[in-house]
Parts: sequence; C-alpha cells; structure tokens
Amino acid sequence: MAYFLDPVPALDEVVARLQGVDIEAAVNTAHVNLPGAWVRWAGYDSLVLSGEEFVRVEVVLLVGAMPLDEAYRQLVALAEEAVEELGYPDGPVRQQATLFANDPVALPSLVLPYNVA
Amino acid sequence: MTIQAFKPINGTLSLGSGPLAVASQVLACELVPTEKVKETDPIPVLSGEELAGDSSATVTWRLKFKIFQDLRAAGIVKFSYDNSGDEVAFAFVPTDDTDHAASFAGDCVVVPIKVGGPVSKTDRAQSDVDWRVVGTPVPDWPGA
Repeated sequence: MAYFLDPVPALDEVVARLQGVDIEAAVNTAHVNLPGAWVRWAGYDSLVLSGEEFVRVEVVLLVGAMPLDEAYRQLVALAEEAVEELGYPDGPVRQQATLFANDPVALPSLVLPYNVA
Repeated sequence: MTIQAFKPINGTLSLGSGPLAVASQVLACELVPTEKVKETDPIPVLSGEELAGDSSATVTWRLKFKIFQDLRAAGIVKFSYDNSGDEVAFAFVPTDDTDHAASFAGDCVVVPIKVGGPVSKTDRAQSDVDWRVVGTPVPDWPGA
C-alpha cells in the first residue's frame, strides 16, 4: 500500500477546471500567464480512519505588477470566477506577494486553499 | 525492551448487517469502557459492631466516533435516522498494523446523528457520535 497519495492528478484536475472557465492556470510556474493561477501542492489534510486523505491544493491567483488598489480589484474578480467553478475554498483565503525564480518583481496574489479527494 | 505502539490508521468501522462501511468518513474512533462502582456504607448496630458495607462494580461501554457528515441516501446520517433506537452490529478495527491486528465487535444502540454545525465557507460539517454498546464488545486477538 502506498503511504502517500499522488498529488499530480488532483493538481491537473484543478488546472483543467480553471482552464475550463478561461482562467490561465498551470502547475509549473514557467507556464503561468498573467493574470492567471499557479496551482501548487501544499500537502495533505483531513486524514480519516480508512487512511484516505485529501490532497491539499493551493490556487495562487496572480496579476501583473500594477498599483495595488487596481491589483486587488483584479484579484477579487479572478477569485469570483475561480470560486464559481471550484466552490468555496477549504480554508482561509490570504493575500500575499509572490516571487518567482528569475523574476525580481513581487506579484500581488490571492491564495485559495482546496482539499481535493 | 522494544516499545510497543501502533498508529490508528488504515482501520475499518462497519455498522449494521449491510454492513455500512464508514471508515472513509471517520476522523476519530474509540471504544470506551467506563467503570461504575456502587458502594454502601457500613451499618452500625446497638452493640457497637458494624455490618460491613458492600461494593460492586460494573463496566459499561460506548462507541464514540467523529465523522464528516454525509447526507447522501447511502450515507451514515440516513443510516442513523433509519435505525434510530435499534441495536445494530458494529465491527471496529483500529489499525492495519499486523503486530496490533485486534478487532472488536458487538452491538450498539443507534441515536440519530447531529446534522449541520457552525456556518462556514471553509470547514466541512462534522459530528461527534456517542452510541451505547449493548453488553460487552467481543475482541479478537489474533495470535492469542
């Protein structure tokens, strides 16, 4: 018996659902186009007696560098579209600045956590 | 000495004659014994002697578990409504650890499971279940 659930199918499912509603989404940061979503693996959650658990996925919504008030509006609009498709997140939504490798600009972002069975 | 311990994971919990397998909903499960002691005071008599008091003890059991609520027609909440007040069989295996492969079976009295909970955008609804076990659960200790 495998001890850990493969997270990739869960990540791919979330990417596909976001792309289905025209949100640019990718697991690999090099493939994320802005505005869009970086779908990342954050671990596991909610272990049950049978040993099954959820894959914890974070949808990191990103917009380009711009004045913050405009960035926040765009992030909220993007979040509305994502939640329409994925449902309410499974944990607190948080705002953060996100830095990607080889890019010195911190991007405004909003993180939506989901537990995927 | 080697420490003997197990992790309560990859276990099973089944209910009723179906049986309904619910381990995928269960966040915690315990079979809990409680001792009830009954004591009577010594009784003094006119001569100054005392009639000694009595004491006796009984052990009762409860099946307690925490679940994700499942409101589907095939789910545990409907099972609890359908079997309210009934004695149903249960079987509990706490772990798949082969060194600790004990299992416990018995009958318990079903009480409908609480539905709903705090309003939340983020948390799945859970319920604590506490059912009376009829008599004493029967353990199976493989290798004993």
